[in-house]
Amino acid sequence: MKEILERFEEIAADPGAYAVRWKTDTGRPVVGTFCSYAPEEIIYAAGALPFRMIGSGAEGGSDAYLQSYCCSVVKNTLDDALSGSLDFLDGVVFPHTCDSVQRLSDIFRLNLTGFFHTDVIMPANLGTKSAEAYTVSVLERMVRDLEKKVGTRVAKDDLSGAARVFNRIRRGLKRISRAAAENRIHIRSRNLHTISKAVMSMDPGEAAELLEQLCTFIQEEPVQDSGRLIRIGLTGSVCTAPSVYNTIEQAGGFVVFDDFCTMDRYFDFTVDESAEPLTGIARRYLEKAVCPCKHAGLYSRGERISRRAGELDAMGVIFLLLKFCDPHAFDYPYIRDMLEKRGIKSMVFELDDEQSVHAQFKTRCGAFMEMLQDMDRQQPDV
Amino acid sequence: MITAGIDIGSTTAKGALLQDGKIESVKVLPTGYDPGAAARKVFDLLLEEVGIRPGDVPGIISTGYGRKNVDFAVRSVTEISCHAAGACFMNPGVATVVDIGGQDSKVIVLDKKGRVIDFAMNDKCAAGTGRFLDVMASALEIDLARLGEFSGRADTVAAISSVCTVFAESEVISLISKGEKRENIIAGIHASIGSRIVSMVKRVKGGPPYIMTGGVALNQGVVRVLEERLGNAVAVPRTAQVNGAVGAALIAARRDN
Amino acid sequence: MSTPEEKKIKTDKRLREIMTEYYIEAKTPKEQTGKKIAWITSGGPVEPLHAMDVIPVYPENYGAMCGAAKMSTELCEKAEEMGYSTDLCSYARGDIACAEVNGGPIGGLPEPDMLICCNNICGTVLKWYEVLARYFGAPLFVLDTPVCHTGYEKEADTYVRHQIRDYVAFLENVCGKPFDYDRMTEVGALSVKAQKLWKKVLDTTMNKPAPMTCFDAFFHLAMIVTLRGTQTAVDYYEQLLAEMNDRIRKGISKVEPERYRLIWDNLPVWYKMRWFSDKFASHGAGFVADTYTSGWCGTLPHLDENDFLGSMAESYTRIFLNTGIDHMADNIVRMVEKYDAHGVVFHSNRSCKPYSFGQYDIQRIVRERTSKPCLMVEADMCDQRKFSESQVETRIDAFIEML
Repeated sequence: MKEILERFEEIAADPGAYAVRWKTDTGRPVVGTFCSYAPEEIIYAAGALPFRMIGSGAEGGSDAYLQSYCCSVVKNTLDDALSGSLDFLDGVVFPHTCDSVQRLSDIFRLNLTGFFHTDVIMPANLGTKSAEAYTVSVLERMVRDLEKKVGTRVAKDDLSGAARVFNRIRRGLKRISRAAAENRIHIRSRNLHTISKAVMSMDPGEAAELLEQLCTFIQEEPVQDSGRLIRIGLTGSVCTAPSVYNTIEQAGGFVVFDDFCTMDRYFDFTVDESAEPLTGIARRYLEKAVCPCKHAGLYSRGERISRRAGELDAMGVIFLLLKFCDPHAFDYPYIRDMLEKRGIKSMVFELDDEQSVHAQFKTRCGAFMEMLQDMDRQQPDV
Repeated sequence: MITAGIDIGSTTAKGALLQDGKIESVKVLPTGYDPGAAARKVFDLLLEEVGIRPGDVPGIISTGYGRKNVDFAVRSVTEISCHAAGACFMNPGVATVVDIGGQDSKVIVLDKKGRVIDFAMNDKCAAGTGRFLDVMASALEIDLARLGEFSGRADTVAAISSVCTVFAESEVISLISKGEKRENIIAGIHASIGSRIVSMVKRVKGGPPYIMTGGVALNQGVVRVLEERLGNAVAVPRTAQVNGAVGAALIAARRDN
Repeated sequence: MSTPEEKKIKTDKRLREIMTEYYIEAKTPKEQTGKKIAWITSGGPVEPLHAMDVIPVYPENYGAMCGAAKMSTELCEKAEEMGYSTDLCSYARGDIACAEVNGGPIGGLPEPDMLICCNNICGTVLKWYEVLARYFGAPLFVLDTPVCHTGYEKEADTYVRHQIRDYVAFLENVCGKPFDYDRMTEVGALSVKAQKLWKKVLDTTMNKPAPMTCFDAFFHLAMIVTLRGTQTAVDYYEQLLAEMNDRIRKGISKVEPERYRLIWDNLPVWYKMRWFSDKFASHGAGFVADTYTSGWCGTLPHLDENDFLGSMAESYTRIFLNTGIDHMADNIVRMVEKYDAHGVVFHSNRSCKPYSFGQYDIQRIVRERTSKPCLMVEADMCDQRKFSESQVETRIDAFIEML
């Protein structure tokens, strides 16, 4: 197990280096993706490696393109591209999500002309009768577009094959994260974060294989005493800072689920392998755990988070919101109230920059754990 | 049983020594650049005043921004829990604690048993903290300690609308250049802090009785604004500045440590 | 020089009357009017509502009223107490708080029977209307208009056309009556007519000196936003156009002498309109056009007045905010040429990310292609706490020196 984790750690520490090696070894192109609505299956079916662009914290001068009130995920990605650390990419795929990403796509298209650019305008309203047909037609366009830009032919079998391998990844990640929450594998939230970060830039075949090997280490019985730890759920947009998990764990927390775009929302729901491949891929986007940028009923995110908290016996939920991330900020008050009604305490923290965890976060996490502990314990009147 | 609480804030290091539920000694020092050294110095001063040795104090809890730097503490507890404990000790029955320190401000809501049921802290920006007052006091060339006295003499409250400290400072400077009275500007600064804090109180649904702790509690101007905006009295315990340290010492005395 | 009395636009009075009547009707108990109320986004498809005799109400228009009345900041603070981040759109924060406390100059908007949200202007409205739908429990219709980064694609057209049919069905369902297609044709024709008139009004500023500035346009915009599709709007803009042409004949302008002609980008700073107007006018600078108010006639080329319903998909999807920033830059370049402007002022609006992100690129493109100086001022359309007067003032002075 140690070797597998080390392999993931090595890749997560520098996903770009992995991609460059992959490119040299295979002679095939690498295509950058942004967010969990980028159809990785299609990129892979076209013979390219989907590479998840997550800001590394490099300085690239994004301030010349984006104002101070832009979130750090968008800024850091642009910084990486401007600094040249994404120069190995052959292209980028931008699915439509929030307003900031919409403009980031424009800024990439106009300024970063070293690689090809494809916009994939996924529906924002997932609930209409026409959403599925529309998504399929958008995916068809993407296939044609990639065929032209990558210079390959994408057969139906390529798509089904890609869907199958990504399903294996999703099932693997899901099983491991569930086992971690149930304390049946020696893996904590910070390891999970590392694993998913690596997986999102790895050769899907290798990733699926490693995850399946890792699953063999899942035990029937608890692997360690977790009695005094406080079970915490996490929700928010993206988190690329492992220090967040460390801080929570050091404060006595035990993360039982994490709803980030790089975690639950990335591996939730598999593609129906019996359906037409593009239809299957399209349906997954309409049914998977929803990003707040999308409209899928009025309560779907709140319901899901409270259900997860209930199932996994979380005592508290931490909303880790990125400053200037509007969609999450709009959802926060109603989900907070929903959790409150079900007796689940929550805390919100606005991360200014995902790369640096503010000292105050430590204090707040500590105080939150102390508060949850005290709720259980009878305290002498002072 | 003798216990100590050491509260290392961004500006000052505070210490309190308690024996059987009675405050024996409190000390305040500037934190300086070495929080660990400041902590030791505060502890030494406490021991010296009461005339005991380190071995006589079985329970020591550290808190505050520099709580991890206190190597002689048994353990550290966040200032949220400490302020709650200290506030309940000084004013039993308190429901909401407003604590404004040098770089953090917080609102803590307690239940009838004195347990923390919710809390809020300022976001990363300095608006609504002691730092904001620091910056403004130096822009106005007034001693920080005299801000309350000045705002008490204001005939009107100058409008300062910006929440950002940098923007607000430039507003203050332009008010100065327009010849606005310093008293009125200071009243405006206090109003600005007050509105940030009241907004936090409402966010966590805090209610009376209120008490205020932390260094800024010594500023009568801020306390007055809070009382006006909350429509209730805001008590300031005499131990306001050392409340976190007192709370830490109280927690150290609890059986379940 | 014209006298202050001559400088005043007389049709202002008529606008105030119409808007007052409009809000009085909207706020009259529904039992008396027999009409349903819809809340709708500013870029939303309002014409079918008029065809169904529904009163459309615009939270964004009300947000502007709150901002101009300097009542927004307090409402924003209220929303923050409810847990909404201070970085969210100040229209949205203000409106969410308004619903709770009946705030603003007319004590809140009448409760909606339905909510109509079109995301062609931003993704923010989607989240905002979800909040409203949870609060009021009113049915929500979302018109999802895929963004056209580089062009209007066939699949987007098919998708939006489907949704237009869903919209009609939604209205039939909520109103409990069949859709009136004949009425729709009339309303569509009136809408196109009003948009054409609005365009003519805005084009009067090609004259030197311009008979009005964009600060006037921000005010007269209320009608094209809220009442397009009605005879009232058509009559009104005919009157306004006549007055503008009269001013041109008499050589009356707002800024005398008009030394510099400027273009404004983004929403206005509602609580500082007068200040901006006076500040620039004191240097002899007037805003002869802006990208915001012209948005309400910008898709005329895609509208078919004989088949309004059929052309709605394209015209509502292709509004300028729903396109790429290169397209938005082209628009400004065209404006600089058309109105013979000396420079462009960009309002970097903390409340409106899709309008503001990309402005740096747009600025670069405009500079390269027109060689005109550009100025960026950071503010917020409604939240006064995000505005630093002294900082902006210095920048304006420096910009004028560049002209």
